[in-house]
Amino acid sequence: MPDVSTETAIATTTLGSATSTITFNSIPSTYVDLRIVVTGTSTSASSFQLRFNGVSTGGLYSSTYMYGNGSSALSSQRTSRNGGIDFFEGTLSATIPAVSIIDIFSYGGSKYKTCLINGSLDQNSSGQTEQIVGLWSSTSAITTIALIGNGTTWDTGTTATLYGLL
Amino acid sequence: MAIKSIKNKTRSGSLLMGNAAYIPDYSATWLIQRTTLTTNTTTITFSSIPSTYSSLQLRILSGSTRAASANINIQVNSDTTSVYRLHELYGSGTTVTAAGSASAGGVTTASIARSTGGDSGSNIFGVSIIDIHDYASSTKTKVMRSFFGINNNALSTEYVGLRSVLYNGTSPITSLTLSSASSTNFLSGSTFALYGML
Repeated sequence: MPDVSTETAIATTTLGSATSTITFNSIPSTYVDLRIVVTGTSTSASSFQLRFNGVSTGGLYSSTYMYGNGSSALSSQRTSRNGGIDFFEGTLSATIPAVSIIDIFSYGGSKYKTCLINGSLDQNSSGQTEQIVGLWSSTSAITTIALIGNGTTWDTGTTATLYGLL
Repeated sequence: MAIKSIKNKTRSGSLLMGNAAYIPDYSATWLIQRTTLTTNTTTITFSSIPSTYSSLQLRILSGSTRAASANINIQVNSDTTSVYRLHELYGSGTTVTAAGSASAGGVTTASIARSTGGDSGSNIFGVSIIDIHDYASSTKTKVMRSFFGINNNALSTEYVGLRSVLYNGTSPITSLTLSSASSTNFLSGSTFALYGML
């Protein structure tokens, strides 16, 4: 068995106060894939966005969704968006944390960047499960990732961890 | 002749002698093998898979030579008999579809994920994460779970989906073969990585 840590926690943050944006900067180019695990609450009903390298123009983000909300299974898509890849599309709870695992493939590669997002927002009578494939139509290597409240904030106690995978 | 001696009168009950302990950065996830294609290729095989781990994970970034997106088929231990069953749930951006294997006796190969085709353009590959738990068991059948997706900004049909594939055999998994469906090839640049998880 190789004596190499294949999956490494690069950075982690736990919010001491509410904030609209969680940012991972200066991401090393060492790894092949990245994974973000975020669990959090929010007092405002809105979605969040995954943004790369601070890019918020050019309509470079798109995504395809499949989600179930307890009564229906639905699919939708977003095309040519400026702000980022939307996730946590359902309403977050102020008390029950939602969790999302974001896998970003070949973040340093020469092709457009594709990610898979698996989110759970179960709030004891409401909520949803969501599966998302997102695309950033850029060949640039990812060096910064921001998790941005789309008109909302992450509450105190929200945690986000960035992992690198060899 | 001069007599030199070094006397350190420090005593310690620990072999660390006051130094900090070294704690290896130990990961539960280990890369077994990664293959990045340099030419278009029909099949990818991971062989001699060690039985050391509890679970396996495949991470795939792939395109195909097909005009439209193509299924990625999987075989276990080169078994081509009717021992596979598939169930899936996927969204296309407009509708959600549930499907499964029609044959009660199983099928000879199962589609575990999807690659992009030519209609996604040259800069976009499909992605998938496939988990296989308890793969080394000699008494249990094996269920593989896949989360996969293709997004091309609505250039053509998109997919985000979940698949469950049963390998109805109890042999430990020692090899996995991936092939691009419809007699097509995986594109150069496609990457297939197999991880072991403790």
